[in-house]
Formats: sequence, structure tokens, C-alpha cells
Amino acid sequence: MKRVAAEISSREGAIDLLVNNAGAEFGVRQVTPDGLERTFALNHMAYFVVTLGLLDRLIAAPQAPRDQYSLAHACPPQA
Amino acid sequence: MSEIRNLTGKIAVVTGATSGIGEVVAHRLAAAGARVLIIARDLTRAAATVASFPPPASGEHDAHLADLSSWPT
Repeated sequence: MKRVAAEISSREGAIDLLVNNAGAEFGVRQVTPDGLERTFALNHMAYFVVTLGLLDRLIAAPQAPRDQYSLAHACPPQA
Repeated sequence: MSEIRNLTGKIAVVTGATSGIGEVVAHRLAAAGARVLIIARDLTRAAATVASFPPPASGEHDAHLADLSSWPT
């Protein structure tokens, strides 16, 4: 997340739209090398890290940039 | 489905754009004129996805590789 955000920031002057779409549910518990449960890392932490990593470029957009993300994680499990 | 307004000259970043909703959204943004940068894990799928987008008015769409469950990458 950090490397790719830095990579994009180094190449682009401004970003007008960020779609934080990536998400998945890992049925079997996995822990990333960072010590985070993988579903939590991808569905929660990645939004913050990607958005913050690109923040300078989002602020640089001439019009207010849009950040779109999923709230699926806030939905209660279906019975 | 409502049309996306003209996004010519705009740059959009879409994560998880090699399948599903992300791919459709990225494609529609490209069709509306935006230059689209996708972030994905698989180089082959990412390149194929970007190649399927309508080309932007200037510059090129781009694919960046990263596993978004990993902080360092």
C-alpha cells in the first residue's frame, strides 16, 4: 500500500477520483507479515493507507476530489 | 444506469479493478474520458484489464501492482 501510493504520487500531479474498491473476505484466518488479520488489513486498513498515501495528490486536484469506498463491512451478517 | 459526466482530463485511481464492480467502474470512468490508474495484484490480469479500457484523450491508463493487505507494498 505504501510503496504503490508513493509510486503513483511520484508520477502524478493530482488525482481527481479515488475508488477504494478492493475488498475480500478470507474465510480462513490469516495473519499478514504486519501482524494484522488479512480481511481486516484489506477491508479496513488499506483504505486509510492508500488514501493517506495519496492525500497530497488528492488535495492537489482542482475540484474537490471524491473518495468512494465500501461500507459492506458495517452490514450485520445475514441470518 | 445514469451516465457518468465527462471526465476528460481527470485522473482516477481504482483498486481491485481486475474483476467485478471495480472493473466495471474503472471501465466506465475510462469511457467517460478519465485516465484510469488501477492497483491490482496480478500483472497479467492488470495489463489485460487496462488494455480493454477505451483510451484516454491524453496519456495512457496505467496498472500498478500491489497486495493491498500488505502495508509495505
